[in-house]
Amino acid sequence: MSIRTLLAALCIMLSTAAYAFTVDTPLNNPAQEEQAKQLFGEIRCVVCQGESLHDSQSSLARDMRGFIRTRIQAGDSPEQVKNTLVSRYGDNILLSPPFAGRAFFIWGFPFVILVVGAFLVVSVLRKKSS
Amino acid sequence: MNKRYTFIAFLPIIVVVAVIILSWRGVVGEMQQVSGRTATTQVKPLPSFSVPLLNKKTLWQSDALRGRYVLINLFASWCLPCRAEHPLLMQLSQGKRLAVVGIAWKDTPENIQRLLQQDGNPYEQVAIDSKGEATIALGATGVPESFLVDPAGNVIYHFAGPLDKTRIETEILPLVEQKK
Repeated sequence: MSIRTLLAALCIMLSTAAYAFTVDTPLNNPAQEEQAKQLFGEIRCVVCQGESLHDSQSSLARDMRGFIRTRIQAGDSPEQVKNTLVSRYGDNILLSPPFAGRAFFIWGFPFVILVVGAFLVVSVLRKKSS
Repeated sequence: MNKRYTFIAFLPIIVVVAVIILSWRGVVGEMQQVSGRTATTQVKPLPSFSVPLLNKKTLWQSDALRGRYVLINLFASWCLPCRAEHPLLMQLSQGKRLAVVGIAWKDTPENIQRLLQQDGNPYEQVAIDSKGEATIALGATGVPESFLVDPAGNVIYHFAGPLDKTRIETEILPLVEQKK
């Protein structure tokens, strides 16, 4: 492998690394930037496994951070921005989805089973003792 | 054990089986939706967004789509699955049953131009989404993804992944035919 090829490979590697660590441009208003950062921690990176926007270096996560900053800067409240993203991507975009509907059913089901089981045991025991 | 107790004994089993089926369907559905392997036919109004048109100084407005069926296709010249669906999009646009509009994601005008010269241009218009504005507005996660918009401006079909012939013939075209 010639020196030229090695240099070219090195340049490509370095340019890729530089792209991966592109720093987002923070908002000028510190309060707004803080609101945006808080949202980054609550929104899931939709192309990653269990990562928040804050932690992700994916291209889409970077775009979403930009979108959030733009909306916050335009005057949207964090709740409005969150609702906009939920309307587009569904509840799954939230790292802590609302505890309702199917989630409530899934989490509450073991307790239902416990009650039914207890009722069954008590009924059988009562019948036996009588 | 009398009949009443037999029923009670089986009740938890019936409930468990029902919950497992419901949860599994839900979990799988959500996983597929996140990983983008399933088509969704949930009707949503097309969000308003504008992105620059390829080689033009004007913007492409999503609001301008009303009045006919349009397939919005998110693609990129660097995306191999997009190349795989490209011939099908060519056929679809030649069929004149619906218009196909392309939004190139994270791409350069030169590379898009080269792709369209090499493989043909199925798109009535091509816009470039370099900042992910259209992608996020549409709720997309990458390329390729396709959205069928009805004349009222509603997204009536969304598929994340490369379209294939079966999907076009059994899922997209019937939606266009049905409502015409």
